[in-house]
Parts: sequence; C-alpha cells; structure tokens
Amino acid sequence: MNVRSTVVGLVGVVVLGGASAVSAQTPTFTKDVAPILYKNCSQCHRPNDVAPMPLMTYEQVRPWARSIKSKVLKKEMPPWGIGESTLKFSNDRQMSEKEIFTLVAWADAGAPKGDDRDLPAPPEYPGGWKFNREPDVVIKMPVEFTIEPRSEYPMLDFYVPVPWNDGMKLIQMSEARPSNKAVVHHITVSLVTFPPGTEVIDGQPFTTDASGKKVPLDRRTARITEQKLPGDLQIPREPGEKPDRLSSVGGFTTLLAYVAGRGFDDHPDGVGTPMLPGQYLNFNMHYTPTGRVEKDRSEVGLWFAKEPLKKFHFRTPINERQHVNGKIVRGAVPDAADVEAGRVSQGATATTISSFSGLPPIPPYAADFTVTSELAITQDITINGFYPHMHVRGKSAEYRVVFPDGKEQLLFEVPHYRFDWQERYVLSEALKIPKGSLLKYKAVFDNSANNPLNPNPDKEVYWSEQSWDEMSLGWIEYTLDKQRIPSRTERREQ
Amino acid sequence: MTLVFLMLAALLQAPQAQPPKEQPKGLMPSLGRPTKPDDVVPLLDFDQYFLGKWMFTADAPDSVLGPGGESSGTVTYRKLADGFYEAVTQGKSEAGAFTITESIAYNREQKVAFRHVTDSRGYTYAQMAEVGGNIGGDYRLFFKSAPFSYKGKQVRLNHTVYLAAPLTFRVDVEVAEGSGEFVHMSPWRYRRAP
Repeated sequence: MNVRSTVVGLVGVVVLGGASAVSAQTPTFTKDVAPILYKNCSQCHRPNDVAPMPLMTYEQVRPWARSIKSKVLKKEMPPWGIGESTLKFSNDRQMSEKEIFTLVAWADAGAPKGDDRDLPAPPEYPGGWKFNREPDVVIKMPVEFTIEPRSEYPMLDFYVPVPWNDGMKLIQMSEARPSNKAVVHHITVSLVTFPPGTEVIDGQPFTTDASGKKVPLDRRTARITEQKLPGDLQIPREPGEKPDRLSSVGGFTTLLAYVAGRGFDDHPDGVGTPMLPGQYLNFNMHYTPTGRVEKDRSEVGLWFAKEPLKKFHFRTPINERQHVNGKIVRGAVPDAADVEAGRVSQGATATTISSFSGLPPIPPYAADFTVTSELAITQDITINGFYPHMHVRGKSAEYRVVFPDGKEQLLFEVPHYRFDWQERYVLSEALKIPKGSLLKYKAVFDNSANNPLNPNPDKEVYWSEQSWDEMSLGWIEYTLDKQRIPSRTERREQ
Repeated sequence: MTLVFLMLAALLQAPQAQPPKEQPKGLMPSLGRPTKPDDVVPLLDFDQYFLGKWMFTADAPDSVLGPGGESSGTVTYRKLADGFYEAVTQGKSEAGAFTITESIAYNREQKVAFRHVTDSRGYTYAQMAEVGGNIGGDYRLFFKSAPFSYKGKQVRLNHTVYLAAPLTFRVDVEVAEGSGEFVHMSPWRYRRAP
C-alpha cells in the first residue's frame, strides 16, 4: 500500500469512527511530530543553519504544517538522492511510511500542539555545530573577504598555520561553515606544507627572491610530500613500489568540501586526515558574485580521532579514463606523478583535475550528454563513502564496480541529481574492493531548456569550477587495507 | 453535410504548418570561450527576460499576512514605456482568488528597480531593489519594502528574485512584523507559460 492510499484509508477510519476516535488517534506535535522532526529534519532546520526556516518548536513548525504535508507526501523532503542501489547508507534520512502518515494526519487535523509533558528533549547542537559536542579546534579564515559586484572570481586560497605543536592529530570529523551562504559556492579545506622561508601575511604566502625582495609564492610548490610525514606514518610499500593514484599523498590531504547540501564529514572511528604542526590549512574559496557587495569569513571545526588510530582517510575522483557519449576522450590523467611533482596542487585538487580533463564542451540544448569515467583499483581498498559532483546541468549519476572475475555490480544510482542539494553518501557497512577491480562512474548532463536550473541552454558548456560551467567528478572515500597506523606506544618507541 | 464533415475531418488530420519555435536563450553573453574574471557583466535586459506570461506555484506558511497554503496562477509582464512595466498576477489559494498589480520602474544603467504593489488581499507596499548579476547570466533583484500597515500591524517584505533560467525564475519572500527579524516564507516558483 502506498502512502497516499494509507492516508486516505486512515482518514476514512478516523471520520467513520466519530469524534472520540479523532481525539484518541490524532497525532500531536509534542508526542508524535516533534520526535520525527528532531530525528529527520533538525540537523538542517534549526536556527542559522542551511535550511531557510527552523523547525524545532511548535511555534516554528505550526505555520508550515500544510507545506510539510505536501513536501513529505511528494518525498521532496527530507532530501535524498539514491534510487536503485545494492548498498545501504548510514545518512539515509528518508522517512518511513508511518512517519509520513503521522505528519500528514497531524496537518490534516489542524496541527494540534498536544501536552507539553509529552515533548522530548530537542537534539542539542553545541555552538551550532552539527555534531553533539563542540569541535576540539575551530579555525577561521585569516581575513574577512569582500566579494565585489563583478563577473566572477577565480578560486581564492587563504592559509592558516596549524595551531598546535604537539604532534600529528588525526581529524575524524570536520565541518566548514561560511559566514555568508549567499556567496559561497564551495569551500575546500586541505593541508599544504610551504618551502622553508615562506612567510604568510594575511593568509597569503610570500617568499624572498634573489634580490631580497618579498614576492608572492608560486603555489605549485605549496604541497606536502610523503617524505615530510614521520617515518612510522608513511604508507607501507613493497620494495620498489611507487606511490600510485590510490596511495599517493594527494589522496589524504583534503579535509572536506562545503557545497550546498554538505559541509560536514565524519569517518569511522580511528580514521581521519593527518594534520601536522608546520602545515597550513588551506581555505580554497569559490565565491559567486551576487551583484552587490558581500562579505564572508568562513571557518572550519575539527574533531580529533581518539586512540587507537587506524588509517588515513583517502579520497579520489573516478576519472582515469573518460568517455563522452561512448567515445573515449582521454587516457590516464592526472596520475600520481602529477600529484607528487606538484602539478596537481593540494590546495585545489579538484580544480586542477578538472582543468586537466580534456572533455569537449557540452553542445547547446543537449539533453543527455553522458560522461563515463573509470578508475583501475591497483590495491585492496575499503570504500566508506561516495560524493558525485556536477553543477546545474547535472541530471543523473551512477556508480558501478567490475570485480576481478568480470562480474559487474551496480553500486547505486542518483536518478535526479540536484545541484542545490549535493549529498555525500556514507555507507552503513564499508565496501571492500579488491585489487584488479574497475570502478565506473557515469554522469549525465542536461543542457536543454527543460532543465529548470540551466541558465544558458543556448551556450556551449565548458569544464571549470564556475557554477555556469560543469564538472564531472565521481568521488570515492576509502582507506587502504594495507595501512595500519602504529599504536601510541609504538609511535613513542620510534 | 457529410461532405463538409469529411472536409473538416481531413483538415484536422492534415499536418499543420507550424512556424519554427525559437529555442530559449539565456542571459549570458556569447563569448565563444570560457569566462574570465575581467569579463564585463552585461546589464540585465528586463524586456528580454520578463515580458510575457508566466505561471507560478507557491506553498507559504501562515504569517502576519494571513493563512498560508498552496497557491497558483499566472503573472503577465507588459511594457508601458522604456523602463516602465506593469505586472498583473491572477492567483488562487485555499482562501480564494487574489490579484496582485505591480507598477515597475527599472533603471538599467543604474542597476536599480522600483515597484509599487497592490495586493487584493488588503495591502499595498513599495519596494526598491539593487539589481546584480554575474558573467554566468545569473541575475538577482533584491527588493526591500518600506514598512506598511496591515490589520493594525507594521509589516516589511523582502523579495529576492533569482533569474535561474530562461524559462524559470524563483522569488524568495521574507516577512517581518514590527521591528522583528525577517522570517522566511517559502519561495514562489515561476515557469514561462507555453
């Protein structure tokens, strides 16, 4: 029985049952509705968070009762993008039919409040952060940036030194918060190591040239190398084995990305991003001008992993081999050599990778422009999450895996991709992918006028981080099966 | 009689010659290359974007302006003179039919708009807007109202108009009572009428 027929049936029962049945069965806010909203909605629908209105108190919720009914019946809220899938996700916030019925019946009954004594304690968000305790460290951009009315801004980098000096911390959870959501298209927070002699002034790195003059640092040299990691933290390798795409240092120097719909990352216990004294936190900011003067000073909250530390958190996009509408357009770029040589900067990995893409523009009015990408799995990995990323022409996405025995499996599809709500899909149970497998990612773009978010269907669409251009990045988040971070005792012994 | 009927039927079944329909165009300039930070953002062409008939849906909360709920209808933008326009909204909601009449002035060079709005549900207000955009053809009109009275209460209304695509735009509405903070009302979504 679908939700609508359930609702019609139960409304019929209530009507036939008379007034006493109505009072006995009618859901109330305090007893029935608040627990559903607290569980499924409050993480975004609370003061000063991404949703435009808080839904925490009866006074906040009651005016929206009819709208809530409409949204949950159409399954537009809570937002969730997964269609067909062979996986389960820990952040799946779809409501059950019972929960939907309760909200609908409550709205239809005039949204009664109920007895205050029934109201459960609301979830707490200390400091407004999404997790249930305040971060161990909060780092703000070094300056407030003014976004002037102009055509566009390039990606901007602001650097802040790691604010501790007592050794490596593994960042298990992180959250990025813009101070002005209207202008922040994305925040990518990553880690870099500058060459000796670098001076950072107002968040910008400078070096001294041969004449002794202070000049801006060429940021391609701003990177961390694996050799900078303490020996006991380096990725284990067979004799003669070189870093490859899956195990290179570029895979674990990005903390998180903020875009509409995401901006907080959590990883399994003991898994995280290593952060070392001497490094700099890089706020890679993409501002989209609104046409009037705006200001922003974003910040990031960090929560440290507790012992025992286990593994580094890696991420990489599936984009070694790419096909457009079935025709191959490029081979394997960029590779680990690009990363290790600094040709792919750690501060703007996605930017550089996409600018390397070599994909042809999307033609005007093309409704099903399909980019298929592959990534060869060169060592055993365990996937913990996925993040498909496109812009306003994004239509659908799909992840698949071909195992070494040739068996192909659909992992999941996102049938209706939404630029205005980009989800990071976190697995309930980690997915083992053995060496010799092939990961596939398919992204479909709609540049037709029927796409309600498409600003310019009559134009060719290029590939860049500007939101009117496109990106095709099917990220995976994973750990290396062969890595084991030594215990605290072992690390001390060394 | 039979002959006339057959001729009519044949006419109806014959393929009708349709004038080629012009494909919708966005507001981004034709550069023939990727955009650059020093590209000049064209001024918003109000005529090109708005003139004609649009359909809308909205799903508002209860507020100081009355009960919320779903509403739908049409709005037609008409040019009165260079820089001056009229928009008439004919809508229906659970509370009944309503009409909104707007007199709009748009100074393209100064990037400002002004409108005087009369809502048949019992209120009238004036708003000014900064008009901005970026090189991607993404324009916004930030309308802010002067305080006005409604049923003995002082009200302010902000409307932010997002020109998302040639065939769709969105208006986010915020309302404040007295000197209180602005509260979000759900957006009105517009689609060009076929």
